[in-house]
Amino acid sequence: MSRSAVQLDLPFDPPARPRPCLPRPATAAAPRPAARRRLWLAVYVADLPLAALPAAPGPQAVTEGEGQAARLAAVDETARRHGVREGMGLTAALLRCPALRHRPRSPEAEAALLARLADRAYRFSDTVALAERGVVLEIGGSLRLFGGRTALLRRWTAALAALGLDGRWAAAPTRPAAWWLARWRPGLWLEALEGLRAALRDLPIEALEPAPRERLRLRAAGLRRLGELWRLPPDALARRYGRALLERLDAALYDAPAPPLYRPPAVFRERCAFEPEVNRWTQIAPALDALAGRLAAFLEQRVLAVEALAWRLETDRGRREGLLHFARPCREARRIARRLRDALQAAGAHGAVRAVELETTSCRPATAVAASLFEGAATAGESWAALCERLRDRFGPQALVTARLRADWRPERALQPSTVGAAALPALPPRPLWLLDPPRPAREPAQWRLEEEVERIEQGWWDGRPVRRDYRWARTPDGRRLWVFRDRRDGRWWVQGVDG
Amino acid sequence: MKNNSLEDLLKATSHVSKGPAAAFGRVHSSGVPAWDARLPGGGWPAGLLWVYRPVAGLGEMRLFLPLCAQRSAAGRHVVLLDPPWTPYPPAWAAAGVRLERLHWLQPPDEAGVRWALDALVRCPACGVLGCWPRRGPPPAALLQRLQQAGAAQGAVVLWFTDRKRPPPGFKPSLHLALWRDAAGRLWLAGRSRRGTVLPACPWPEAEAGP
Repeated sequence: MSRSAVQLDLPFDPPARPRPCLPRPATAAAPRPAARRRLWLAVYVADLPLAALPAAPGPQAVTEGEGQAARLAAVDETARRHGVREGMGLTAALLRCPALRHRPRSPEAEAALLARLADRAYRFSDTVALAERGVVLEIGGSLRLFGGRTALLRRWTAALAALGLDGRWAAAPTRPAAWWLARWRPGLWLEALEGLRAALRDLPIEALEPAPRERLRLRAAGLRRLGELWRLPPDALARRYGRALLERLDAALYDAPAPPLYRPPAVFRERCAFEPEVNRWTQIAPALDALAGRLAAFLEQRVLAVEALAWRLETDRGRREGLLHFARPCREARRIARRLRDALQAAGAHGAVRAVELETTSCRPATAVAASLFEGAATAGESWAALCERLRDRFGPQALVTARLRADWRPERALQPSTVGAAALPALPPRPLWLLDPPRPAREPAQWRLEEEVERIEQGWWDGRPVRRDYRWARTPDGRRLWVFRDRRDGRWWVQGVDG
Repeated sequence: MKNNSLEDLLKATSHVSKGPAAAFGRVHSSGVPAWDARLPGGGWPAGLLWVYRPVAGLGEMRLFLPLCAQRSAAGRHVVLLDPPWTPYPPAWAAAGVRLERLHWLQPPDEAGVRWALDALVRCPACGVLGCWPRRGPPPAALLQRLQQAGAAQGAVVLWFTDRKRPPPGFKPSLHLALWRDAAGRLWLAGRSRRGTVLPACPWPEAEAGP
């Protein structure tokens, strides 16, 4: 608090470890360990309100406010050539450019676009703060990872361009400073705290986002630049214009209180609608590939692998939905796309498809080792497990049966799947390769040539399904070898197996 | 056949020998020395085997059980696609087939069968694929795909059918016909893709039979 006016008036930069001009809460006052230098990259997208709306021809603008108070929030290049500027009243703008097409701002569309922007930014840093028309991300930690400033900026510009946006950027050691610079002095890359005050000195006081009344009072007092505010004694400034203003001014130089950070959604949910509806599978497949690609990007970004994926298919005949289970958690676009294709095809995407929707229902962290294993499996060809998955997707979970043994003398019981695994194989007399389940009554037992050997099976009296049978092998006139039995309770012949 | 280069001519004709590698894929031992001695190539070839029998259940599967046992022991899977009856595991296990690698699948419709055929034959883990086509003559293109993919993966595709001949334009790795005479003896005749003929003869099945 006790800071001399002399020091405040110094026209040069603050010392390397500056003291705050306001007393701070005890927690914040402790000097931050200088282990990692923080660097914030701010991206300001001036025409975000315009970009969030569907594209339209002609000079256009986005308005905020109603009726007489309507002002332009964003203006496109054509309108700018007509002399229309941001912040202008709508009436004045229409006088300059009568053909101006103006639409109200859409907060939902802007929030969605901003979320997509933040999502891209999240690939560069896990500390991403949302601002009104842009994002600020901490890149001090990831600068080296991305190969330095030039490489990072090139990637970032490409990411912006992929969203169809054109942003202005600046980097500074504190978050508000980065944001202000991106907005008022774009292109500045400032890593050291020392040059910060000099860089910010000429910014307009609007950077502090004062309330309109406050702004007028500041202007009336002849204060237009941040540098002019710094020349004033801080307590006088706080008394006259409010402590909040001074705190915001301070935050830019030292460090901002932790901003609300962007947290990426933990669930991937996306809908792909076809307008007009499509009939041909060849038209749906590319959309599915793209959808799977976005899901893979989502997983990669969060270092996740999907275990279960729910899908919904809307056709002109109604809705179908299902769940894909991945035996091996998966993050490859190709594998996801293929399984999705199989599942949707099996679900009967015969009619006209209106929309496909995906939602991850279960994900697990992917490890680097697992990732390399997946790639290996993908190049070496499809492994058996992956094939089983595809077959089950297409035909249902019970379709593919794997042989199991069950120790039971009644032949039909030895067939049932057992949960205890393969039982020890008892030494059985010869058995047929194929079983008729249930046994069929014999049509012409008189024509059989029966073999001599008889095997008597009398079992099952303990669980209420007793059998009393005499089994024999029989050859039919057309050459088949059948496994037949005579029920000893009623003397009828049954066919239970075929050997061939 | 005008203006054809030699290469085109060779491509178009399948009865010209293109060397052992092209004509014969891998050949797997049938598992019974007496059989290997008679079979063209010395065993069951990879690719598609057209197995004609007048009725199902003459003992045709028994011919391939030692092969299944051997392939499943080598880590390959044996898949039975749409078999006419349910496989009975004790008998397969007694023949030496590893049960954990014996699977069967019953697709609900013909389109499903074809889809599964394509998917299965392309999987390098699939060693023996048994098929029991139900309806209509199979398209030659599908058979050709199975033949090529099977030969490439070293898999044996068993095509059990009651049609005597494959559709025109398609040559299986081995075209087999089997039947039983009045005495109940099994007879076998065949012709390999390369044209080697297995003359009709009573087949020694005692070793494999129960």
